[in-house]
Order: sequence, then C-alpha cells, then structure tokens
Amino acid sequence: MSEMIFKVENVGYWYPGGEAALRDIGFSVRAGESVAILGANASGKSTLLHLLDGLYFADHGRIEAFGTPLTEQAVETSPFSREFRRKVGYLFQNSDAQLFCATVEEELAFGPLQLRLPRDEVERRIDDTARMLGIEHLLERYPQSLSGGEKKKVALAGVISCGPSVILLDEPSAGLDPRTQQWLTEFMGALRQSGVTLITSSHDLSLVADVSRRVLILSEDQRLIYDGPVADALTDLDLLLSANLIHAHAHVHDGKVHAHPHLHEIWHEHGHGGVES
Amino acid sequence: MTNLTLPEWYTSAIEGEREAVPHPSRRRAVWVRRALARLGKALARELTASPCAGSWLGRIEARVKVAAVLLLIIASTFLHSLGALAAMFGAILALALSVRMPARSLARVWLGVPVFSLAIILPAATNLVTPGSSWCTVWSFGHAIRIWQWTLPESVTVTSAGIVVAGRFLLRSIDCVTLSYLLIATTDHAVLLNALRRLGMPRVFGMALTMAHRYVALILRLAEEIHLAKISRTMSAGSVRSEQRWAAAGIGILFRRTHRLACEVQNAMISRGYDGNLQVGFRAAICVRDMICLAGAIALAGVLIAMDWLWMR
Repeated sequence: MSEMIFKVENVGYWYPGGEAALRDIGFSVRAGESVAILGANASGKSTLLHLLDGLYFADHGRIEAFGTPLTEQAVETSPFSREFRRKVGYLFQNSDAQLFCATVEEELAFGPLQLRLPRDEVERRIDDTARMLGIEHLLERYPQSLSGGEKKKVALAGVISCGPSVILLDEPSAGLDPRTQQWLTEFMGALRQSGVTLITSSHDLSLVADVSRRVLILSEDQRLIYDGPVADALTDLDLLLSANLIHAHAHVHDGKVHAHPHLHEIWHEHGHGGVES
Repeated sequence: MTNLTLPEWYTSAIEGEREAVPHPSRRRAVWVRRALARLGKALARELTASPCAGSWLGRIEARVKVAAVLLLIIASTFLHSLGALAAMFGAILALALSVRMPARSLARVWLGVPVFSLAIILPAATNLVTPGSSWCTVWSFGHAIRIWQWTLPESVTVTSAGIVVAGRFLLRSIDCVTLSYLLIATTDHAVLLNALRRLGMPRVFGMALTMAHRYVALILRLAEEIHLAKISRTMSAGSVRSEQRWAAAGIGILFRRTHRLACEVQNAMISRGYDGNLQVGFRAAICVRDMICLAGAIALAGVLIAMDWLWMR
C-alpha cells in the first residue's frame, strides 16, 4: 500500500468571529491519489486546503502529514517545516496574491531559494519549469503585466519549481478562458500520471471528472457528506442537489416544461416527461 | 421556473414611469470624487512610468546604471565651479536627449526643483548669510536692527559671492535630480528595486519595497473599482459631507480588502518555504556594454573634476 500523505481525524475549524468553517471532517489521502474536494460557496473547501498546508491549524481534531502531527509547533520547527514545504505545494485561488516577486523568473526562483537549494540547481529548475509550462518567453516579464491565464501558469510554475510530490489546488480553473482551462486539465492529468498527489478544490464538475478518481463532498453546513469514487458521486443527483452543486430548474423545451436536476454545461441529456406548456 | 414578482416601483421604472430624480443643487460637490480619481490616476501613472525603458540606456544593466548615477552624484559634490556644474548639466541633457526623454517629463522635474531649491538657498544669496560686494539691494531698513544677539545690516543685498553659492546649490540640485530622473525613466521600477537589492540594500527592506510597488498598483485598481461601482449607481454628486462620508467608507473597505490580500500573500510565501529569513537574488548578467557604460561614467566624472580643478586654480 502506498505511503499515507494526510490523515484527517474529526477536524473542526471556526473563524475568529465564531462562525464554523469545518465540522467533524475525517479522511485520508495516500501517495499518488488525485482527490477532488467539492462543495458550494462557503462550504469550507479553501479552509480545508489551508489546514492541509499547515497555514491554519484545527480547533479540534487532528491532522497528520507524512506521519507527523501537523501542529503549529511542528510547522515552525525547521527540519520538518522545510521538508513539508518541499513536499507540499499550494496553488492559491487568487494568483495576484501568489505572484509577489518583481519578475516571473524571480517568482520561479522564490521557492527553491527558500529551500536553500544551490544556485545552479535553482537556475536549472527555473529553466526546466519554464520550458515544461511553456512560459520561457515570460521570464523577464513583470507579474502585473500578465493576463489571467498567464498568471495562473506562472503561479503553478512557482509551485512546481519547489518539486512538490503533493499539490493542493484551490479552484484552479476559476476565471480562466476555455483554452487555458483545457490546458490546465491536461497538465493536471500529466502530473497525476507522473505520480504527483493532487488535491483539488472546485465546484467545476467537469474539471473534477477529468482529473480526479476520488471525491470528497462538503455540505453547506461544512460537513463531509461523501467520500468515494467520482463516477458514483456525479451520477447521484440527490447528493449533488443536497450539496448545492447542481440545481433543479424548469425550462421550456419542444413545447413542454421540464423540471430536472441540471449541470451547467452546454449539452445535457434528459427525457421529455415534462408538462405541456 | 421560479416565480419572481418585481416590486411595483421597479416595474414602473422599467416601463418608463420613472420617479422624478431630484435635481442636484448648485452646491453639490464633485470635487472629492474628482480629487480621488485624479490622485489614483497620478499615483498609478507614477508607479508604472518608465517612458524611456526601451532606449539604449534602458538596455544597460540596472546595477551598472545605479552605480554610474551614484558616482556622478558624488562627483557633483566635489565640483565647485559653476562652469563644471554647467558642463555636467550639459552632459546629462545630452544623455536625456539621446534617449528621447519626453520634454514634458523634464519640464516637470526642472520646474519643481529650482523653485524648491531657491526657497531653501535664497537667504544664502544675500549679505545676511554670505558677505561680499553688493550686487543689488533687496530691502533697506535705513538703520541697523538688533535682534537679541544678532545685528541685521542697514540693507539686505544680494552679494556676488551669494549668487555663486546659490548658483552652485541650484545647479548641483538640478544635476542630481535630473540624473536620478534619468535613472528612473530608463529603468522599470521593479528592475530598479531588484538592482538596489543586489547592490546590498537590506533584503527585507528590498523585498518589502518590491512587494509594496507590486501591490500598491493592485490596491489602486481595487480603489478604482470601488469608485467606479459607486459612480455607476450615482445619478448626481451628493453634498460635500456625503461625499466625504463615502470617501471615508471607501477607505475602510479598501483597508479590509488590503488586509485580506496581505494575509493571502503571507500565506503564499509561507507555503513556498518562507520561514522569516528571506533568500533572494541568484542571477547576475553584466556584459561588456555595461562595463563600457560604467567606464564612460567614471571618465565623465574624472574630466569634470579635472575641469573644476583647473577653473578653481
């Protein structure tokens, strides 16, 4: 059996105002898995990723990363901290928050430099990562001058250049044009096939279906209501409806009014059992 | 389909039976709004303006340019003759023309600096500070005035020695400011900050400045969005007080968003291994062209100092 990456037991987290962000969450992730975290807005997806990255710490329950409890003390202790940061990368939803260096090249160098890698290794990683993501032509550019899609690629490159074996992705396809979304889906697929563990939070069901085999669904009251295969989850319309991932609406079609659960994609199939309009 | 019933005031508005919008009174103030918009635009322009970054001087390595400018500024402090300082100004002007510096930008620099410098140096041009042969009388008291332990002369005059002192100060200020502006205009601000960091500016200070430069532009965009969102729902300018209240509320919202962004940035840094000890800078690329440029700056400084020495003998 492959190595245990994360073990989450009975975790709860509350915002400073006392509002619940997560309640009694429990699951585990093994090396090489591609797990999607699905949930409506404010269901706690980003908070869960922050907890897994050791940026927030659970108010109750326990999280283990690579067999070590992920506590504030452990994350601030140098040997584990550096090893953890090397192994786990985090692609933030807001690329602007992630691109804080003067140039794209420095952005790619930031992680390796913090990991105290030798200079020639840093340069090698920059060149290789830029080539892999096709952003060599952007290296001298300034992050503020990039388009949304380019920012996302550079942010991902900044994560990849650290060489993480686990990547947490927070709404990676949000705000991207269709071509960049397609590129991202293919890139994530390639990472998965290379053995990188991917944990992706999203409410984009098509992305989840393409890149993940397993899905965790968070309800609107911030509880884990499903942990299982993606294929089963996406065919369980009641489950998706209850998590507010799809909605039932009526529309007129071929002279009849239909009311059925509806995924927001361009094409969908349904029977014609509606009411005559 | 969801049954949606619009309120009556909304349906009547859609049908064109709009309620009469009160006409703005003459004393409605739009100046708060305009001032904020202009301030934002000016700041955004100044933060990103490097009008000559594509020129030949823009292609010189930023560290070399910083070193050359520092060298020439230090050289200007050794120059005492007005002739040498004017020659330096001529050389800087030639450089500015060679990179096609916009005349408007130069005029802005040259208009601001002399006025400010004159205000500082004016007393030094008179016999109150610099004694010497009178050149012209500014004010005559008719008799000497004693104030505590100081005695003012019968008349305040501009002296020849005072003119030289003031001229030297003024020329030196113009030389230094024009040189600095030349550096800023030919170097992207982010690159310039990076060069300063590589030249030994404390790392944390350099990173903080870089991030401030990066995010001030972003925050300005946020402020502009808040401003535009307000305008899009405003039919007329409010009273001065309501505009001020809105500006204060806008600052509050902006502060909250900025704080959130700062937290996100910090998390993004920690996530990529930042542990409080920042590691930055890794590549150096100074080529022959850069070295020629630096040698040129050293030669210019040497020639000017030699000229000054000859003139002052």
